[in-house]
Amino acid sequence: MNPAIAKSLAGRDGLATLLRRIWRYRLLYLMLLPGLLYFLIFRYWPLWNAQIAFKDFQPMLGVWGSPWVGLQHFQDFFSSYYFGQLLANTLIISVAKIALGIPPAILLAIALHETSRRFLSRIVQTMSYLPHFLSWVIVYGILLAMLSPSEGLINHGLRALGLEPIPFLTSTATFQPVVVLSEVWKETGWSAILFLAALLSINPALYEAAAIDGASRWQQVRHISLPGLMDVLVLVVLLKIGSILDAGFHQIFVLYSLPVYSVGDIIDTWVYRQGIQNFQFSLATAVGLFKGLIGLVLIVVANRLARRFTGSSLY
Amino acid sequence: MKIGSRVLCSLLLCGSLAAPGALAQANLTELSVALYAANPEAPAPPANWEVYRLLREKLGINLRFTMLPTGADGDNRLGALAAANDLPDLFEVRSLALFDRLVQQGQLAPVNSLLPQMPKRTAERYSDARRNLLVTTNGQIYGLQEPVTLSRQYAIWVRKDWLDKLGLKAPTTLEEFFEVAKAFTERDPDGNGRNDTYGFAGVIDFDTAGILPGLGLGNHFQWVYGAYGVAGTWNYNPRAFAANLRDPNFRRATEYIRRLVEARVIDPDWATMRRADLRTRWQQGRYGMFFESVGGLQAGLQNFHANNPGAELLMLPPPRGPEGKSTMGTYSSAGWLFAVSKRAMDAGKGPAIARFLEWAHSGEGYFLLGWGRYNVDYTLPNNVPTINTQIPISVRGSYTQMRWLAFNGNPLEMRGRYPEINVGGRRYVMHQLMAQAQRQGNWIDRTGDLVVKAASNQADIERYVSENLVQFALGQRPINDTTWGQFLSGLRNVRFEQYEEAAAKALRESGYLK
Repeated sequence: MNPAIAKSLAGRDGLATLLRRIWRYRLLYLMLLPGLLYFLIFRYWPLWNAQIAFKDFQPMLGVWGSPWVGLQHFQDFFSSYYFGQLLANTLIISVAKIALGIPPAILLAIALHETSRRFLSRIVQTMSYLPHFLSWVIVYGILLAMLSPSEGLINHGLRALGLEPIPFLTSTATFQPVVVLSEVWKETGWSAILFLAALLSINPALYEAAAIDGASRWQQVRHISLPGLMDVLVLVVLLKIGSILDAGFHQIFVLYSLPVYSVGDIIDTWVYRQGIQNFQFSLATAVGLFKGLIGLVLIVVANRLARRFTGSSLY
Repeated sequence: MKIGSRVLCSLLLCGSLAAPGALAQANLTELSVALYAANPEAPAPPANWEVYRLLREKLGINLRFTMLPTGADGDNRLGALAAANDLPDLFEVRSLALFDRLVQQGQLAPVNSLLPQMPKRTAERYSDARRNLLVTTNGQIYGLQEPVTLSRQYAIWVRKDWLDKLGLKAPTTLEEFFEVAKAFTERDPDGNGRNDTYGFAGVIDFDTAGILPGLGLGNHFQWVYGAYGVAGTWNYNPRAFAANLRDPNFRRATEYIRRLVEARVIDPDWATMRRADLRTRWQQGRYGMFFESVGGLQAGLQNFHANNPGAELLMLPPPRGPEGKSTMGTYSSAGWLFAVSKRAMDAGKGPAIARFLEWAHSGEGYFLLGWGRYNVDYTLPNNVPTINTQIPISVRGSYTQMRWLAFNGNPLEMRGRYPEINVGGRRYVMHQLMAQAQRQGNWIDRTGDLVVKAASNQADIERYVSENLVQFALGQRPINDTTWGQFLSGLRNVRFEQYEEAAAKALRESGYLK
């Protein structure tokens, strides 16, 4: 047979096989469809519009018809007076949230996993992840009731002890800790769910064998639970590194005020004021692309490092 | 006649009867209108709103009304619609930065051709050439600039009952203000035995409704800068035009605010509080003096008197500074701004927009949009529109969500909007208080500020100035020759000189700076 015809037939066979497989697993593919559509519509299609980062976007001319301006918007962002401070604040807050946010989640997950009283464990778990569902506006109200210098609970306590009240939300020394710790409080319970799921997937036979060999609870945690968490830990850290330039717009937008701009203003809040409120959409898009690019580079590098040093990776 | 023929005849008859209606439907002009919610606490008007029906039947307009959220959210929503080239036909613009951008991008239509089509409205609202100049580019008027209706209604209010109790007189100078504030803070004016009162409260607020914010600490502290002769952003000095913050008196005014903060006579939460927090707290009776609008006062009087039996409020004239100067702040003589999208005008909707606006200006349209349902939401004793307060605002508010299109600020309207209120044994004639606030505030007209375009790095400029001033006021940075000098020289880093030059040029070109 002519090799070209054979190849064509094989190709047709291959296509037929593929179609047969798709038909056989049609329900699975159908379940995949909404997710695929989501990514196509909300993640890939907007990439076409991202070209306005390199254009002077004029709605009347459309995305394609707007004139090119090269890297002008990137230059505007990099040369803006506060660029260095914005980047530093974003990185400090973001890294602190990762570094201080993950250990309590792991500890909570282990504690919940280790407890022999299931009922208590469920109550604690539910209570600990409830704050995740509160909006930052509500959390701001709670924080103000706790931390306000004039009527906050903590400052009432300080005054009762004869100490000076501390303006937690307006002091440059305390604002970043408040941001990080309030995030940790709000999200620890929710983050712990992932680690708890990983702990539950560890084969119970390992714990039984260790117990028979005389391992204490602490030794079981150290030699079975923690290594069992490693894959999920790597996954969580890698995903967080990928979005390291997202330091939490909603939270900071609600919490920050003029006295703490020097430590609280992050890239996203600047973009909101300069890009969105002044209707400079091209600039806002340029910063979004910059953040995405940095995130991509970081996630690729971190993934390689994770594969090399821990043996597990995201992909 | 056969059955088939009968059916055919019936169908033809039905068709001929239905034809006028169908024709009317076909002739209807679709008109989309977006306005900021006039009553944010109430939902949009219901689908069976009488106005929708009247507009269809009388003006041939099928109105689609969209309510924009108040504040920056509404501006952002309009910005997003503009970016999608999907602006409503007729809409309100509150952000001048957005207005300028829309003109520059060619998304707005000149409204010159509409003006003769609505003669009454134009004569009473849009015939002031100077005001129209604010929205004119290359000889074309790009906005319907309403006359002011809410301007100059802010004041400092003082607790007269506390003054009487402590044997004090209402302060007239900055020094007296400080002493009274100190007494209100330290001498337990509410007599509850607790140290829980403050002399004064204001917040960092840049509300632009009827009062122009200065660059820096916002509206609530303009009276301090005014007492030193440096209220507002620009000095309007034709020979030495500059931003007021370069004036040595600007530093003195900031030092005075620092004094208030340092002596703890001002609520320590002032730098983070929102306007809503301020309102809650003065209503609770926490402050001896506070900055508030007449409208804000009206909304809070019930609560205030319920919480503070026997209390009495007095409007304070702006305290005088060391050289006898005083003002409550700067204002613009321009009110709401409406714009027409180019798409609407290109689609031939101009005449329908003019018909609608003329209808809303007076008579039936004015009352329906401005006051709601006659004998339900309001009545007209002695021709004064009188709101039926038995119906909660969350209900009657729906029917007046488009009232900014109708209101014109005439005396009867002001009496209706700001009526006499008797509460807690006190009588408040709100429209008289409004007039008093306008008269007594020594307000400075700075309408020219509106022709100054936002700088390309406006957010950085605003942050630099406001952040430094608040740091000085809070004592995070001491105020001395070195630090103040650093603040002024640092303006270069945010290209402030270019902003000043652009402002001077715009003000000269528009005739506001001779």
